[in-house]
Amino acid sequence: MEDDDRALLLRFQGGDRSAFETLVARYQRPIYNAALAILHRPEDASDVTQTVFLRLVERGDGYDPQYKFFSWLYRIAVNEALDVLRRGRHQTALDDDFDPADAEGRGPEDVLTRAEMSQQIRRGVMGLPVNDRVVLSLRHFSECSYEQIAEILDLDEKTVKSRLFEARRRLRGVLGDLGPG
Amino acid sequence: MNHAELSERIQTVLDGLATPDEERELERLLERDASARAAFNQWQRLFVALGRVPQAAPPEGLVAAVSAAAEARRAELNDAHQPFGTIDVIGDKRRERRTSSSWFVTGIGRYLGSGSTTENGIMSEQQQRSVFGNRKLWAGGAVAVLAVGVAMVAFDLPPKGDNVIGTVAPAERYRAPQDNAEPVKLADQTVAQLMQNDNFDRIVKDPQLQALSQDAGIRVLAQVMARSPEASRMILSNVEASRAASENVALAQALLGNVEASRAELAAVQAERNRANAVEAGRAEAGLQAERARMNAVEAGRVEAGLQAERARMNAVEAGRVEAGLQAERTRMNAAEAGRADLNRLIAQKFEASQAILASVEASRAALQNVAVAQAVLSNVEAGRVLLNVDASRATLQAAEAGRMVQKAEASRVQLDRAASADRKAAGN
Repeated sequence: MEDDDRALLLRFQGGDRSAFETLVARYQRPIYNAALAILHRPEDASDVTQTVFLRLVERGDGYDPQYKFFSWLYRIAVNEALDVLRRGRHQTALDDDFDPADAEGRGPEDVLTRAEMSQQIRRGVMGLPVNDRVVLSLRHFSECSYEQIAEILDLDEKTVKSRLFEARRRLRGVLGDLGPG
Repeated sequence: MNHAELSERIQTVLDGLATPDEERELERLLERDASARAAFNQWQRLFVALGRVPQAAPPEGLVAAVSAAAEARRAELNDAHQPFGTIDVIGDKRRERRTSSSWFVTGIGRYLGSGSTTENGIMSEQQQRSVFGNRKLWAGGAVAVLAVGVAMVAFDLPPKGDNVIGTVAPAERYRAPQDNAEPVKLADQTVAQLMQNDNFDRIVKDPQLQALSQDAGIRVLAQVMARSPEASRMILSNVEASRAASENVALAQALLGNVEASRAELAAVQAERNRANAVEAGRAEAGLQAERARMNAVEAGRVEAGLQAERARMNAVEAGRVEAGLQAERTRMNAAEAGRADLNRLIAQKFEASQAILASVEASRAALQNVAVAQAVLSNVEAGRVLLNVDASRATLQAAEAGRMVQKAEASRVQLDRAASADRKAAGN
């Protein structure tokens, strides 16, 4: 995938616009979710997602191959989202969006329990400091490895691990005991 | 293993990063310690719950919006001096041009809700061929399509209200009995009305429009502008403001939230910059004067004078610093009093964009509220202006009145056709 991404980027830099659309289609969802986890406002997350890909248009030539392509994109996304956050926009609670595809094959009680649990988790995460939200969302919602998180946030892995442990500890403190789900 | 160490070990294991030895050690502990097992279960539930939080779906049209914005940005970066491009007729350039247009159409087309693209947003080669394969067919309809778009922008058509309902005019000549009593129903006359409009005819023959109509992207731009004529006018009324607003959404929202306060902040930042420049200029001038004095003194062998000049320069610099410090403090105090320190910082960071946004609040608001339209319009400002202005100055026709006339004529023609048909039928009998 990484080589594929780089090939697409090279094609895009060579003027192939379909390569750009492929990259957008491939990464819009994780980028949007990374921004949403930090900002919690769909409009802001959409803005950040657009901005990230515009940065790709503007700075694609400046991509440093020492970074993985998606780490580079994520890094832009996280920085943009943090920038928006610093500008002091108000956060409002996000209505828990329910995806019917997630409910397939499960009973209604199970579905409801999981939906409620997800809502509880999201609220808990959003109640944490922004640094905690960033590492938690990258690790658990975007499924980044420690190495990737370190690359995205420009930290060493030890610091990532430490921040993640602390964030989870605080999240448990917010959520209390979780019943068997 | 204390509580903190246990938590860390459990997380390491659940993260899949523990060594086999660490895993075994934890397993042994869990076997003999009920509280450790309870803690493990709690951590495990948290990890499972975090893993089950569903990913949110991006809003529909995001890819299209991004593509349109990217195209606009790319065009701005690469092609600032070629508003309409060239009309290629031979060789690879033509193919490349078609691809370019199709990409733009893909983006905006999906924004407009057309279903002409594949699921992943990329128009296939086959689709591209079907869209652009018959150039002659396209060329025939292109001017008309573009003209409809232009006329809708220029004349604000279709007119809203009930004043365009058709009236069936009675035929003066022989009238055959009607086969049925159903009233003649006219189809939607908007386009027909438009196409029989004198101004439409002028538009179709306009050389600028004929050139523009060769570009699929411009045709789509005309459609976008026709859908949002007011927004397009506002956006084009101040391109700099609109561009600054659409490219700095958060900044524009912050500035437009309280225009007066933002203007005050902008003035404060400008004053601060002017002051800093003045101080710097003063320092330079003081330095130059002192240097001249020093040189003169040295030349004259008057070291004392040189020292005095140096002291004078130092005093001037110090005075400048004190004044700068005082003024900066005043600026900070004012900003703090206004409770808008963040806005001040934002303006300082993007000063030119802030100036542009506040230069035309209306255009900025229009761009902010219609970001996709703004991106499309700003992608080719010159074309947008042509679309907006072609023949508008010559437009004297009252659109509603013309609509009624055209519909009357259309209805009469239908009546006459029916009468002629009945005549023929009677003659055959």
